[in-house]
Amino acid sequence: MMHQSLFVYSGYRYFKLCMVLIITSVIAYAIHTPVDGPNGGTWLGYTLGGLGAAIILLLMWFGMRKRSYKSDMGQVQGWLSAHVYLGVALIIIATLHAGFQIGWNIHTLAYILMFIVIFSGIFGVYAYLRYPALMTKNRRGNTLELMLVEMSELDRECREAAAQLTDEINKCILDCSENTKIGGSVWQQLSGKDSNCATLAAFNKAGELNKLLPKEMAGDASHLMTLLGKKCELVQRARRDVQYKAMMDIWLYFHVPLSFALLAALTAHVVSIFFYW
Amino acid sequence: MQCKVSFLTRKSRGGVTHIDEIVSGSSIRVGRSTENELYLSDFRVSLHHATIHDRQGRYYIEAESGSDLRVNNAIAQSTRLNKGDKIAVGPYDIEVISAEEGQDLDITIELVRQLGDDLEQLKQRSTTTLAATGFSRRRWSWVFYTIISLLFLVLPISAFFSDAVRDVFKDAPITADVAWKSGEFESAHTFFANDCKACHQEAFTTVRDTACATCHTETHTHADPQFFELSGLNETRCATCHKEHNGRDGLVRRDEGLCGDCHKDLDTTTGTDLTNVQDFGNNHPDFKATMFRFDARAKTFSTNREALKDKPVETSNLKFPHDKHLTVEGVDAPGGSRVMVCADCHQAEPGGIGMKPIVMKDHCSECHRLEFEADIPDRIVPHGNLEHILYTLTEYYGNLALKGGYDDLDAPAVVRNRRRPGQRITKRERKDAFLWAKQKAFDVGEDLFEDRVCSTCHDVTKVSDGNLRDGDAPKWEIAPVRLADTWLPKARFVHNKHQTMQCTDCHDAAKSEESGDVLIPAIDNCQQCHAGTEAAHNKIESTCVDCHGFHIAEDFLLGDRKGMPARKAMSATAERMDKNIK
Repeated sequence: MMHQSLFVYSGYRYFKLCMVLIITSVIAYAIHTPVDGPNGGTWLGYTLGGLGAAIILLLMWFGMRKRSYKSDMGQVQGWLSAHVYLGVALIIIATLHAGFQIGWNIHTLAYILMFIVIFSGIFGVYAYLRYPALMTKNRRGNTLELMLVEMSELDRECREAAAQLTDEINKCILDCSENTKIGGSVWQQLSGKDSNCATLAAFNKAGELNKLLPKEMAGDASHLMTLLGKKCELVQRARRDVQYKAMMDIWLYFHVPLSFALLAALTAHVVSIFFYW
Repeated sequence: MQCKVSFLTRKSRGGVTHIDEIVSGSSIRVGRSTENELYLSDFRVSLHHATIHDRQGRYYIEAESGSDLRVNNAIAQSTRLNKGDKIAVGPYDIEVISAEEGQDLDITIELVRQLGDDLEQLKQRSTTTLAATGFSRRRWSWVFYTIISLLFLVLPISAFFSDAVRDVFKDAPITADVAWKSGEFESAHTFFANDCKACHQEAFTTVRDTACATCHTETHTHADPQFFELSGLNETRCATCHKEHNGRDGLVRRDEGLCGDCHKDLDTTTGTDLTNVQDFGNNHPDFKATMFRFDARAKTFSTNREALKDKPVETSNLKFPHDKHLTVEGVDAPGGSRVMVCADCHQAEPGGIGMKPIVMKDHCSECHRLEFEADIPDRIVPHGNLEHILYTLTEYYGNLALKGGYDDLDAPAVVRNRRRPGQRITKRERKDAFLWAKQKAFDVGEDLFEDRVCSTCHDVTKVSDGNLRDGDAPKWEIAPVRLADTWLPKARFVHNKHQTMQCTDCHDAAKSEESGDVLIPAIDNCQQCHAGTEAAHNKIESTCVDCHGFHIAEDFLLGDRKGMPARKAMSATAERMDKNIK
């Protein structure tokens, strides 16, 4: 299992490294009593700040490393393990660096961006632990592509089944096949729902219309409803599949752009410190 | 009626095939239902879509309810069929080949609007990945990186180097300077502090003292910067101790290292005779009182510092036994016996730091009255100047002598005899009277100065007997008095902060018999409560700056440092001074 390897990689090597970093930082912070209170400008503040900045650059380099297949700088899996653990350690190291001081300035902006990036990353770890299993279960051996093929097959079957039924029912079926969509906007993908689902609407409406049919058509009508019911279930599963995939992807849309925002803020933070030395 | 129908099918490689059929009936129904004479299977056609009628040899097509037709692209419910008409029924086009009156109708039908590929359309409608929604991580990364770099890096740096940029963004809600601010300013600095350049005058350079000295010209330096050319002192910047960006109250270094780093071994590093000091609790020299020492020959005071533990004796030239004033029985006062307390004389200054000066008029004269005639207690001599006292006495007794009738057997007759109103006295008599008055004044003065009044408190010495005949008055001198207002001027003791204590906890006045006693306690008295940072846990942690100031070099102002000689020249000066010491 990939996620197990991520955490236990090489005998918890990076977990141990980060625990050492965190414990050392906390102890140093506890025994260090600068005259102007804990802040980024003391020797410990600069040390923790330098360490934090180095960690941020290393974490961002992961994006380069994982794209570079020929690199011999360790396994990507090891990098990922270090990426996760160092990211969590950064919360402690950066907070101690700041000495719990915040304000309306670039320094706190960098701190906040760092937090959003780290927590989006933590959500990413959570998503990669949770959703692949749910996805496999939901797909039942299919792929989204196959589900879509099956949906269009059902559309055809529905049309055939409804051919001799009333025009209203046919219109319903036409709507169903022409307007059903999977996914959609970011929110629709994330929610796994479509409040204007054409298939569900067709299912409900056909159900109503079927009641008005003469008895001799009951067989066709019942067959149609079975097909529509199947499609409803399929549509729901396909949307859930899209939802799981979206959940596994969405954090990256915060994690990556905001990490570049952080890189800019961090640069400004460091330059401003030495500019006004 | 009869109708010839040709079902056309176009081939993908071009060419058309057709299947012909003859349909007949009283009218011809068109629709999806198999009941229709003209059966069109596509589901987009209604069950009963339209009907073609033959009316006296003319052909009409009528839409069934709920359906509609498009005749030559116009929506119609009913129309007569003419040659060449094109009627759309659902996805089919019906073209009229011939509709001559009385002849059979001839039409072609072609499925022109094929149902699209369901799967392809479904895929087109569905957006199944976030990437497909148009959000691009790469694009947003660039956007964020650029915006933040521009606002918080490029803008502040540009504003630093260009006044034009500065002025443009002066009133922006987040100015360049605010964005970089690392903490609140000390309240005294707030009116200019949003202009970073006021203090940070050069990029990538620490704040220089000259920036501080722009305003703080009158602040004293710690020591002569040339004499004490110490790296620890002269390379120390204002900002080493005064930490800005630490809140409205400001933040000044107060730790023992502030002083102790240099003063712990000052004797070996500088050759000074100052004592080493590091921690109030266990490494602080004994208190030395700065006392006035009177040189009787030169008649001047000099100051002298002596260790309090050696019980030094002060010469203030005032006789004041504290014990006599603080007896439990009380002292003789105009209203009877009065028990005195410290506060009767020692009152705190308004600031609460020291004590108001002791003055004769306010603190002594109520009991120590300067009377010269027991019979007339209301008449007193002025305090302070012996000549004035003699004038006062001479005037007083001259007046009595001229009035006559003074009861004194030794006095001449003119003084003793009563005179009638208007009775004149001779020149001779007047001279006698004045001579007597002067002698009397000198006698009373001598008694006052040497025996009865002044000498109670003062050292009085007769320096000349004078000569009555020549008109020379005898002369006395009172040794000048100098009362110390503080014995430990290099430290700052705030009486107000010690109000929970009794005066006698520190000042053992009730047992002091001599005014030479210095009633300032030695260091061990303070150390009962105060200790340095290496203190026992149950004492008040007191660092050097709790009592001592840093900016104490009286002759050296921070503002002068701007004109200080270059460092090399200073070294030469320091070397010269150093030789002088040795």
